[in-house]
Amino acid sequence: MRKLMPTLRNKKRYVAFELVTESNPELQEVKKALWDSMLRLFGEMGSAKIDAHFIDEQCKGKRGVIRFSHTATDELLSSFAFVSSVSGKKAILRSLGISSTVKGTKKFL
Amino acid sequence: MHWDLGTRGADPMRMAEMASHLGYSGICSIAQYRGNEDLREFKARIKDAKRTFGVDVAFGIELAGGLKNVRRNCERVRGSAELIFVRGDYLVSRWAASAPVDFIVSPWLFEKGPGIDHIIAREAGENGVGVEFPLSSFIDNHGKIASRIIRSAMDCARVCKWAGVRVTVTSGARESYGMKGLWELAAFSSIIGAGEKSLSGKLVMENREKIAGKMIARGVRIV
Repeated sequence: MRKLMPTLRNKKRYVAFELVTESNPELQEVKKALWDSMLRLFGEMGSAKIDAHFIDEQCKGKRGVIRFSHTATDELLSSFAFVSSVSGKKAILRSLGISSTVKGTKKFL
Repeated sequence: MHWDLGTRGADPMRMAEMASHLGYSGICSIAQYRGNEDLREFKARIKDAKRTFGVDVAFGIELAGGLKNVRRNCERVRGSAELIFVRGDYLVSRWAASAPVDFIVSPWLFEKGPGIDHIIAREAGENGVGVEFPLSSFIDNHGKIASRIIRSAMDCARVCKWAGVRVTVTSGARESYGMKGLWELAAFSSIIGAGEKSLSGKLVMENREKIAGKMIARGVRIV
């Protein structure tokens, strides 16, 4: 299949995040915590609209980057607020900055 | 200048440490009123926190219970607390709307629907009394109850907006890990319709001037 034309693709944003916690959780556990929070707050339909994807290459240590739909900034950040623990340990998920390119998020990490 | 005006932890030191990490310029550490002896001790801890982490820490008191009790305690603490929060049923909220207090805390938890009606909202708007939306009250509940609470909070935010009532979204954290990032609070505030000015610390500065005797009334300062 041919790639969609740029004008037909969904517009994206990238958020740099930091996990504040005393333990060192795996990326999978952070993903699970965020997905649980998104599903709890907005359900499956809302989560589909947020369209969040972790950029695995950019996730190192307790910081990383998530790609999401440009219309769902408030929804994604609200989901961050509802993450209260990761793999049973108390944690805060907070955003460091939002950019329209992956390269732009580097200054936040 | 962004503030978290509603942290309810017993250890202001750890709260201030976390607040400085999360990028807040100040927090309000709230204690339940149990007597003047307790308050003095709590105030001393707040001073230490201020000095250590460089984050401005305001001193708030939460009054809860019946109307008679709240009214009596309010007179006792007005001169010493930088912010006064009131939590209670409709009668308490109705009194608080025209009393020398600063915030009514999550009124929807004590009554059906938004917890405030147009009478309270109008009066609160005129007297500069605000409504606090603590995020912890949404996080602590799940499923049907959580959705009802969020719905009521959204209704409350709509009534507040209509009457021009000041609204603040806070973390309501009882420990340092209960605090939330700045942008996350702002985003949630925008989702429930509470607006973007809900993290301002301007009120704390105004109240400090009032306590110091520099401000006689809203907008009237001694220079």
